[in-house]
Amino acid sequence: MISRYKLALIPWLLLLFIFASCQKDNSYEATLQDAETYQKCAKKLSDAIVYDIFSPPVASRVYAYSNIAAFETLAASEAFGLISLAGQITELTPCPEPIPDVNLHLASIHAFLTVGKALIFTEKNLGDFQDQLYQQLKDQGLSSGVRDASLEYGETVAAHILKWANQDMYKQTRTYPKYTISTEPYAWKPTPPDYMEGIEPHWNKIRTLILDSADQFVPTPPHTLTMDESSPFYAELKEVFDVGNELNDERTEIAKFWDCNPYVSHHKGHAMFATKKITPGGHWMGITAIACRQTNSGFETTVEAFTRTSIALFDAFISCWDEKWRSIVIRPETLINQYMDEDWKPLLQTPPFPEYTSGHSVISRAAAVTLTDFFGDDFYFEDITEEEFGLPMRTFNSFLEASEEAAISRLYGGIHYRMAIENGVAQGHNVGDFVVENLKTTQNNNELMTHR
Amino acid sequence: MSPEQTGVDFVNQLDLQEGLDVFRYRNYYNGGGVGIGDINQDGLPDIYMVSNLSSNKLFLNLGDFTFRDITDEAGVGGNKPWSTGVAMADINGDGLLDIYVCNSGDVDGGNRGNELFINQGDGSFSEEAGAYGLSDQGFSTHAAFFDFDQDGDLDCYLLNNSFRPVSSLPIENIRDQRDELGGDKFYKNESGKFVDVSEEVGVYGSVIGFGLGITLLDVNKDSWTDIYVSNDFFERDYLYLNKGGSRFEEVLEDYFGQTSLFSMGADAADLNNDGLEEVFVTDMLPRDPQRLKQTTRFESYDLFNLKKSRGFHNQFMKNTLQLNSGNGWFEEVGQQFGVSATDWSWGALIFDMDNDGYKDIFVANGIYKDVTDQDFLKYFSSDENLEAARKGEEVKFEDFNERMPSNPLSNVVFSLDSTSRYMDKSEAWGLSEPSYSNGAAYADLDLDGDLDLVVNNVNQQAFIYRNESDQLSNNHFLRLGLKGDVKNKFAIGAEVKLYLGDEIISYQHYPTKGFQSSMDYTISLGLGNRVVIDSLEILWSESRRTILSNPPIDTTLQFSINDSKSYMVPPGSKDPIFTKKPFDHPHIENHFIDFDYNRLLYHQLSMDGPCLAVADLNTDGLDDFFIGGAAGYPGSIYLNNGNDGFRSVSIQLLIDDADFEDVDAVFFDADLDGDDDLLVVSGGVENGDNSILFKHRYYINQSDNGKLSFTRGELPVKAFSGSCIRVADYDDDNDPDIFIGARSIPGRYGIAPSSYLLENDGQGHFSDVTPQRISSLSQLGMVTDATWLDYDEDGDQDLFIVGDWMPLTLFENRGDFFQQRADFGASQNSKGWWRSLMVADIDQDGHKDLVGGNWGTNSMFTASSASPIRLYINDFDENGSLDHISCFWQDGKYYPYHLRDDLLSQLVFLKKKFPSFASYRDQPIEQIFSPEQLEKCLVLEVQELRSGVFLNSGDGDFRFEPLPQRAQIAPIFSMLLEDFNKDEEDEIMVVGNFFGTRPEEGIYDGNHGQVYSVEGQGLREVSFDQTGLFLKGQVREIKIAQGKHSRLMLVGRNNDQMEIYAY
Repeated sequence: MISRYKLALIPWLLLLFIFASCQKDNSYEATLQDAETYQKCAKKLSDAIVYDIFSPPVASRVYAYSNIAAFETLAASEAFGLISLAGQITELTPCPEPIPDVNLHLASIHAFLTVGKALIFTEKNLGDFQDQLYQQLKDQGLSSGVRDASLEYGETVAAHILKWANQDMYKQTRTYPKYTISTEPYAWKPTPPDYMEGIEPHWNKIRTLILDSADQFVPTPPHTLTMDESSPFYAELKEVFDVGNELNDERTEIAKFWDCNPYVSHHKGHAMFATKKITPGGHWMGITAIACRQTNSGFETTVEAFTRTSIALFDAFISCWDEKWRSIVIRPETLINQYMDEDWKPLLQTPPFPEYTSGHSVISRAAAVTLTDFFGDDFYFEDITEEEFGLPMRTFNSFLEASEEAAISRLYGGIHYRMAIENGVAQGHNVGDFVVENLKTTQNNNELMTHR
Repeated sequence: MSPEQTGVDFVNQLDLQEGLDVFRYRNYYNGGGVGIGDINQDGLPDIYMVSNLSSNKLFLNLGDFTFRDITDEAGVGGNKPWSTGVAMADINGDGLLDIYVCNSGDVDGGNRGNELFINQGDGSFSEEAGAYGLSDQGFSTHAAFFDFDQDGDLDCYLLNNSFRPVSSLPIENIRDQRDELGGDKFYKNESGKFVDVSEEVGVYGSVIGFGLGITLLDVNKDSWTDIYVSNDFFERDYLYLNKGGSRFEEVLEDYFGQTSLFSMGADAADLNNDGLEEVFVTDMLPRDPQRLKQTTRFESYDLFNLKKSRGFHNQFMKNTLQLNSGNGWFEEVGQQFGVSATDWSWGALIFDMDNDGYKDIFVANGIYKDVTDQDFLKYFSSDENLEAARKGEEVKFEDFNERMPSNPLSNVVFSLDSTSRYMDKSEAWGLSEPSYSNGAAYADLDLDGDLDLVVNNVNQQAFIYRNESDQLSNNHFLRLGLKGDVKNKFAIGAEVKLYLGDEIISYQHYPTKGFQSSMDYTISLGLGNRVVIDSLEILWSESRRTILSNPPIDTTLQFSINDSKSYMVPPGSKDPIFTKKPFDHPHIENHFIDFDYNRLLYHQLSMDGPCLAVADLNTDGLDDFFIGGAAGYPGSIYLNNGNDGFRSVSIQLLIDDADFEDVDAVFFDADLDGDDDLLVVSGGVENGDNSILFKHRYYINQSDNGKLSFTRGELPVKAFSGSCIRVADYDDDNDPDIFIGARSIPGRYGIAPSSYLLENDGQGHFSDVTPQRISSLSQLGMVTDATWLDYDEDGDQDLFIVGDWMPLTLFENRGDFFQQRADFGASQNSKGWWRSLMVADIDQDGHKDLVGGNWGTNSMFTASSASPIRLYINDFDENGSLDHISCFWQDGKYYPYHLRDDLLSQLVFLKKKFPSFASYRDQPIEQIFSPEQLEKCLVLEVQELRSGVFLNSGDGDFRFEPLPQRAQIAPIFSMLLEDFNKDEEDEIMVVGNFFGTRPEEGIYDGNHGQVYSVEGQGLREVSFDQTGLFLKGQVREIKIAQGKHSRLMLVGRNNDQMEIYAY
């Protein structure tokens, strides 16, 4: 179905191209009309996040604010039928009105890139991309009047969003106390090989977007942590150990596919190198991109889908991190090394924060619920997000199915107990449901079915 | 000298080949050793060079610095891959030097048996490792041969690096689990066959042993050879005491308070001519600050503590120079002596290069690829390769290798200058050619009386350095040849001592040393301008000795064990001043880590205490005492039991106040009712500013009929984190008044807190008179100690104050008020990290002087008035919390001490400015921050780190004289003036040490309780032989109490047992 639809488009695009090259006047409009242009921007931002090694929660902040900037630019005009997030997400006020001559797509791209560049560290690649894009648009006939107005307005919206973003406690939490390693036997300890400090122990202080508070959806508490062999916790610890020792190819593939660890260090004696990957949030932004392409979503719908998913991810990370630094559960690797096998290593490198609940489980579910609401439940897709990192495509019949696999992959990877997965999925589902219920982005969400 | 001149044409060539590089072979750049010895008994030392990938080479010395390659005819090239270390020793005891070569095998681990080339005496050798039982299959690095059990033949310690990738090992302490396949081994020579007795004699051989250096020495001077093993990576080093030739006892932690972390090569030799060997171990700390910032990251405080808790001791990334006290412990002085940083170092050799009578230190360093370059790690790795790595596929490391930078380094020579610091003479002495050097060996190759040097380099011609000291100076020398007997024909293990006045020039005859290398057997000792040797002593073994009076100099003397006399070690008799009394009272420091709250601070403030206060509380004529507790632990009162011991009494008020952190205390009769009241100062940073837990506590003594009881009194000051309390009747109205020093504002380090002066109304009620009498106390600084002293002898008490980043500060008593003496000379250039202050008339001129305990000079921090340390304080990122940038001065600019990631983790906004390590490494503070940001900074300075005496001239000013160098080994926290040895003259005792640091700074643990007698103009240390005092850990306060039979010294140690010594 999809592919036929795509094929049908091609002659039109070709025509457009020929037409454009003859007239050479307004082909920029097609470029700006094309959702792929926005997709490219989103991808470039993802690349920058990978390069700069953002941790998963901090990465979710970059995704959310950049997309919100783009969305708010579009929603500032009534032309697209989008509802501003002002008044819906915490403390956000309406943007200034658009100025005359603005191309809102260009303005939204500019707002997206401006916010994105402000939040990442190494701006060069994203900046080069931006320069190329703007040059292309100029070559395609974009007048300096429209250009200047659009960039000016994009700048205005970006400033508005950044001012709001700046008050989300991110800056303050940078110098909040680091987590002090506890001597309590079941409290989380730093893990091999780098024994990095626990990241973002104060992430629950970050202002939520849709959730009322970081602890709105506290998951079921973890099992009592004990090495009593008859306890449920011990059984789950043993399960991680056994599963790790008896991995088959499929489980190995699943674990690696969903690794999404932004920074894995490889030690070779004194020599070291590191591999970088997208964060789990980045993976779900990738799935959103796939879903938009598969449905031939237009520019506005693409921005809307990205924005909704990034908001769900943002709040899901806060909810998850709130629990992680409440229960501060020790990682299986630490206990297995201590009690079962001092040489045991998990398939995946244990990420540097407490175990419970599993971040993948919470955020994948929240994203999947949001995407299901937007694109429908029966949604087969080919997930090629990890191909650029050398991991082959996997296919899913629904977003929820993908989120289930993301969750259980952490058990196969040897870094989570089952309780963190199952209770994490439930936690993520609550977050997703709440976001879906309380986030209205089009005049009549039912009309959107036409997009799907 | 060039290969053309010498004929030594040798390069340890590492051409990258498929499948073999530093990523797949951990020790790829460890290089090869150098062996020197006279293989044909012509008196000329010959040279054996080890090559990793090609044939090893033997060069016959033809005299006049010409050599001939005789590898092939001698048959000693070896045919095993990856040769590493070499030991030249007469293994079969036939009087001819054999050559033992360690091999690490190919990358798959095959073909790695070690080789033993037995000297046939006709210029040829035959490989007989198998027959001797020495064809060990480990990843061998080096081997050392010596007579372990003094049965006349040579035994062997074999150093094997672990087979396991380091990354496959969680940091678990499995030291005592012997590796079935490898591990260090001890081979005992049983009638010419070497038998593995590792387990019987107690030698560790686990998979966590990453041995890179083996050093033989006699650490306890019992004439039995002991062993120091330096281990790379997380395993700590080992020190094996030889227990009379029957077994080894591993005692590293008893002898060494701290060691190098990535220990490489090492050497042991006497540097200070006291007849005791120091131990010098190399590591990989860069000396150049820019290289440090580009290639280094330090272990975190948490990881350090995790490792320590698992038995990996105190290990720090720096070269360590361990001074031998001769009494069963060493004191680490690498930083104080200036030898702690020589970058990526391998070979370490201690020998007298200029024959001035003091041995020098040579370090061979360099690594062909900067494998720890931090930009490479985080940003330069290539995408295709990373994809392969992520997939778990074969990575093309060739590409990585190309991208890693190469920076050759000058080798380093340290020579003692007149200030007891070692200065780098590599350039002056012609040894600075940039290189990647590994093994090195010395020998007098041209028999001219000075030691020449051979260095093995990666991908570069070996260096042959001819020593021209004999031409350049008139220094004298003495060469010695030693002849042993039975099967130890070369007398390995003998000790030579030349007695010259109060100096001893000594040499321990263990030619296998340094890194993978082996020295010539002829001993060569420099004498400087000393022309008379009182006597020469050779200790051959536990029971044989040779003594020769007034030996000739500038010649070679031959000695044989056959001419020696039997000998008994005289039993020592000691009657030390101090006797330790049994006592059990632990101080437990609460679990609080300042660094978790402020990432850029260097010194924790939460680790003060315990404090001590002494008084005769029950008026029985014997002193009782109070000892403070850390937050969560109550202070305690102990009453003298009349038998030089103490018993605790339970005081409910103290128990109620357990949550306070007690940092100072004093007993004094505040209410003039005839008994002593107690005032306890609360401190630390564990609580928020203004917390009730910073209230200072006033306990009024209400004892009745010998029953001790207290009620609570009130002080008219707000709660603040304090440091000290000092009592004096400053207004001369016959009641005691008090000064309370403020240490810091928690969370606002550097901002001056307010200290207080409180006046007594004569009934124990105090009022705050700070505003009217001494208002500048309110912004004085972070006070650590103070003392009252009538320095101008005008009959009233003046107040002296010291602190963190503070000068010696004087408030002169002017009757109605105190005048801060701004013109006070001694306060100039005296901003320091002071920790203690004491009154004593050091120069015995009748005017009281001040002794100031400061940080000392055994530190990565150095300061002077010309180049002070600076602390820039500002909320740079405007997020409500202060940021603290510590800077050092270099060529007119201030540069942060902080590594990039440490700084950026506190100041995230700088990540945009410094996207790489290279962009940060050379940036001074004014390039990092804007002028506006810097203008808003509070800037604190330190100009003086030495502890010292402020000598009172009697005319209103003081002159600073540093304490002796040994007193500068660690921060001094407490001092006493007391006649300890009952010679009717006071001595001073200084104590301290500090562990509240991050691993990049390391701990200060070298002060073991030093006593100095006050003699005329100066101070002379009273030796351990006399004091018998060995204080370990962090002493925070010492006090004297009168016991029934003797005086008692109370020693309060942070997070450790309190100790009591009678004298």
